[in-house]
Amino acid sequence: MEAILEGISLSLSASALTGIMVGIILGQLLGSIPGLTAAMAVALLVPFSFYFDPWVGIPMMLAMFKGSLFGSSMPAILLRTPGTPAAAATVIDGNPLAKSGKGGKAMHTVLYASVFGDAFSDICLILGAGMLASIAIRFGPSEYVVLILFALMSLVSLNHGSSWKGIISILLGMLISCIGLDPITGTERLTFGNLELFEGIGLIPMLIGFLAISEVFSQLEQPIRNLGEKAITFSKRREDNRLSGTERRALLPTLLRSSAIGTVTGALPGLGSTVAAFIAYNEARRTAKNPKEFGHGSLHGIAAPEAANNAVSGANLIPLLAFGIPGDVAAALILGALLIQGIVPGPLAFRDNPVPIYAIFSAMLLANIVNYVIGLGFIPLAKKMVSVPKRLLFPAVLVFASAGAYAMRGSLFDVQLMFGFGVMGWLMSKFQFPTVLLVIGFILAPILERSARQTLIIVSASDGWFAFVTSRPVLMILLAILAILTVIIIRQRMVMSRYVSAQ
Amino acid sequence: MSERTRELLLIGGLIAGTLGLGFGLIPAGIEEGFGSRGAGLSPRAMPQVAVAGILLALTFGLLQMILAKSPNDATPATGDKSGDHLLRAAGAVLICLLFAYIGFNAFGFYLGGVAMAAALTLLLGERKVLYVLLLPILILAVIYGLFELGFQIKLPKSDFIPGLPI
Repeated sequence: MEAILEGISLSLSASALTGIMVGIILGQLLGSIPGLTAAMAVALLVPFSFYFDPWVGIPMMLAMFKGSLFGSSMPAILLRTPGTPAAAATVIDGNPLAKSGKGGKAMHTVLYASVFGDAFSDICLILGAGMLASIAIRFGPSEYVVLILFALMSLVSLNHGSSWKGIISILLGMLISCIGLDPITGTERLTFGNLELFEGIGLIPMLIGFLAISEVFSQLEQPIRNLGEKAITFSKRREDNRLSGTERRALLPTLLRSSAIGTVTGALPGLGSTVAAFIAYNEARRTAKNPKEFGHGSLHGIAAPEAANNAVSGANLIPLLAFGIPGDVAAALILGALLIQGIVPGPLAFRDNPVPIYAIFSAMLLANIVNYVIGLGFIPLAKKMVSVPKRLLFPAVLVFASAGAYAMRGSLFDVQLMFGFGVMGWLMSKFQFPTVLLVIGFILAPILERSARQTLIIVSASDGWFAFVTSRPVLMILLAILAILTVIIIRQRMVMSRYVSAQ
Repeated sequence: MSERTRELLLIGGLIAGTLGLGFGLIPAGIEEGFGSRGAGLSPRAMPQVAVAGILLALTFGLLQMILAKSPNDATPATGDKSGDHLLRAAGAVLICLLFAYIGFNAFGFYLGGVAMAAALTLLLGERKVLYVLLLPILILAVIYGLFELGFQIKLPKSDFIPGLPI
């Protein structure tokens, strides 16, 4: 109880509140710029979080994610240019409503649904992560090996493209993570005498390179259009620029259902917010009184995907905080920010140092309120923000990224690495290799390697593998789940390839 | 070039690269001499497992390509956009790498950054002199305020012009 109160007081401090406010403002501003995805915006700002006190930097990062998710729906509605893939479902009804002059109503619906979904999943996170962590604390290295394999398998199976490309991306990430000194023996691995590589590849150049720089290079292949020309007109009628109480009440069942879909989806590694948004949209249409409205500016069609994709953002911290395993790119970025500040999430954090965890929970709930309040003021500005042309935006992104990559370790080598990874990520995306899986493989590989080595040492001291496995019931359950999952994935893939062949 | 041919070429190239990595770079880059082998696994184990996994995945991909019916043989590769756009992206990559390896060292981060941003703005089609010149200065002024004044972080200075304050 004392830890909970201490955590709440940390998040209520003036510095944490300032961090939350700055994070929300930056997130909404950056998220609303077309072409600057929420993940890209946050990846650019991860290195800066290091220079703040942890209780400014961490709430700022969490708040920025929430703000950027809301902000990224603005170009989706106003310009049919989703800031994130997850906002693609919002385009279906958001853009027609905005084109009819009701852009203000559409943006208020997005804000209401975003904050609702976010708060719903944060409460589930607070209730669920602690419970899971109390189970996870009994996990030994062998259970961690199986758990990480389980997470990687689900990530590969849910990858939209070829499964072999997903596997290669993860393994490539693992291979890159091996560069540096061996964690147990101290032997040089793939450094070739380069002193800069002794500490291993930095997480920051890796994250910015693969998530932000590669995205900029990919977008440069698209025709550059003057986005300012696409601005749409807004009705001056008050009711077209707000969400009435009756409309808010009518949206509640959709919001609850969609938030639940988003929370369940987010808690499973790899499913992601895009899947959640489309499932919620379809579910809202299926259960709607008037499904014909969908696609023509239905408020339920806007609220459902927004509540679901925001609910994912809170729920995907459940595996991160309970097990230390990031389930998607957002969680990977937050993990990066936590590690920079010296906070290692996982079951031990709940036992040994719970105050930061409770402070994070409290900051997330506070960030929802701030997101709503600032969002109300931000809506009138959104129209101007969405007209920044990419040709002015991308040079700024590339120079900022260079400064961010340099600042962390004061090394130009990191800037060179970042651009190298950017080129690699760009080429990978050209051939449909998922770069997010590479980043997650890079982050999980050291935990996997350490746990596998520890397991081997423990097994060598016991009476062999069979005795070792049968003496650990949790491990047996996890192995059974992994086996079942493998069979399901293989069957799914066979059915899919048969279907593709038949087509 | 059809999608299928492009994928087959890609897999072939990747298999060759992975074999080079497994049999050349990893043995050359990780010593297994006295004292390097700790309890449990060798330092080479993880990279070798990764390389073996990549080879297996590539073989699986190759088999999938070979066994699949090939009605899409004539399907042109979809990844390619117009040559101009690809050139623009390649030009941006070149500018970034040039500044990361030479420009920032030679001119310092601030002068190099202004030149890099101006070159990129021009490359991306901006022709208004005011934007091409003023925007990079504005960006670097923000970075100067944030890093040098806010966080007290010194970004790289010029090797060529030692007297330059930034």
